[in-house]
Amino acid sequence: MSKGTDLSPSHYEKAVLWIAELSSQFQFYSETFALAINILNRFLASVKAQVKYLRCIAVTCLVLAAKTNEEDEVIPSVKKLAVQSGCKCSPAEILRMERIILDKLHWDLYTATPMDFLNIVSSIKFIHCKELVDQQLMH
Amino acid sequence: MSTLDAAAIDAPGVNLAGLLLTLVLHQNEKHKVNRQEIISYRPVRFLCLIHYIVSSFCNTIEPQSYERQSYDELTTVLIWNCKKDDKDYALKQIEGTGISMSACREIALLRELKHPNVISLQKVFLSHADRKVWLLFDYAEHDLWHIIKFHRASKANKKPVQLPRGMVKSLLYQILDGIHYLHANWVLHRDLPILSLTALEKRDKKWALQHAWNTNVLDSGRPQEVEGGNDRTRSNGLKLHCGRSRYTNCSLIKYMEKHKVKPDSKAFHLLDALSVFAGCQIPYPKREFLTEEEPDDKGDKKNQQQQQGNNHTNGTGHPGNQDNSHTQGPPLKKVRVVPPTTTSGGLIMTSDYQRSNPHAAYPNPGPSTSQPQSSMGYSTTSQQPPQYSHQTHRY
Repeated sequence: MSKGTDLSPSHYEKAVLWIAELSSQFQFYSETFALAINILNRFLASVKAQVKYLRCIAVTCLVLAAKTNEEDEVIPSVKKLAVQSGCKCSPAEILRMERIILDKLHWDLYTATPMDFLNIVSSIKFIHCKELVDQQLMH
Repeated sequence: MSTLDAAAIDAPGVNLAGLLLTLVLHQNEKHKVNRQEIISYRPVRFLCLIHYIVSSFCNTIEPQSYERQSYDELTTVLIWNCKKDDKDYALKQIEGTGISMSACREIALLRELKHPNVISLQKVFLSHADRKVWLLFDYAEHDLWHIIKFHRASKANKKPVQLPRGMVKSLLYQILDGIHYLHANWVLHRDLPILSLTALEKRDKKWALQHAWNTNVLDSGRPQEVEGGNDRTRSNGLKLHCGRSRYTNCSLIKYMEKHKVKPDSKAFHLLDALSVFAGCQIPYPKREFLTEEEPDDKGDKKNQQQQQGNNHTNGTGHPGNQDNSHTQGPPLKKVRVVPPTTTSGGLIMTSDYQRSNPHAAYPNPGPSTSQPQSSMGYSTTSQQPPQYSHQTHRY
């Protein structure tokens, strides 16, 4: 996946599952999870990441996604997140990683995620179904 | 699990299919998804797909080529002069160690938004040493607050400066145009303080009233406005769909029919002079910079200089009033507003500022502003905000 690191697919899988777990623990939207994975993927594509930093990167991706997507009240403080997630890294490390990620991604956090696609498809489907039902009712 | 592997192996960030499958898994297992949640619709961030092209313009400026110019205490902004193109830029520091939610959103959105009436973010600097984040904006010499203050003060001095109605219209038009652009891109601005409405004199002498997005720009005793915020709307697709039929009932034509407004009436001709300052200099004294070392007497001298400059420019429209900060030496300066008492003689704005072409101030108006109806729609917005729904996704 990323350029010549020792990150294996299983590491990546663990990270993604861990983000999913955290995301539901903090009751984030599914969009936030999708965005966090998106940020993670783009970041890993652009840097050589070491395994020991992967947890820090993952939790920071979730922080960034939450900042972009969630309401103010829902977002936990970085300190709280560092403790509750069990990521074994300090708030200062998360803040530093946040800056690095933002810089690497050129502050580009609003991207279309698969979740948007699913939302659109399902709403189109629903509208279509509704029309069908209406037609049937009219006849 | 195998789907996760598929997402992991190649092309991170674009492997849509793999991620989609992980998401489906995620949705089914972790959340019991109710129907409403599936239906809830978020607008396509269409800009995001092409933003790589748009945002690449930021990389052309080197940080070394800036020279520190002055320090604007009001907005905690440094003003830098770029040697390369001899332009002033405003450098704003994000306060605090972490990046707040609003700052994060602000920067991410500003990288995508581009409009003559929305301030443009040129570059973001990170200094790893002191962990500060700096934003580089175009520098605007005026803001709406100072313009209003100027008129208030001159009224208090019993020398009221005549304010052309066209100018008020123009200002309102430009503000609404900027806001409309934001709304058309599904950005909702929840805070529009008057100080962040800045006026910018462009090199081609077209005046654009820009709106600076600010999170902690304002620390001048108005804390309720400090909390800036912007958000993508979480709109519900069903509501939007149902509302549309209602929206069509209040189009401009129906409004005109209802109130018996004829297209050739006088009221409509008044709307013509929308961009009054096109091709002219802004007839207001600029914010002035004072050196920190020499507080008062030199400042008064500068006042006089500037007032002369104003008297000179307002009558004729010559660009004689260039920014003072170019010529004064010491870099550290504070902003001071020029007392408006003596300038009122030269500042009666004549109808010279009115131009008949309402689109002259907008180099990039987008396709629909060329129709007369839509530009009129702005000034009648109090009756019909729903016009926005027809003009979305146009920029």
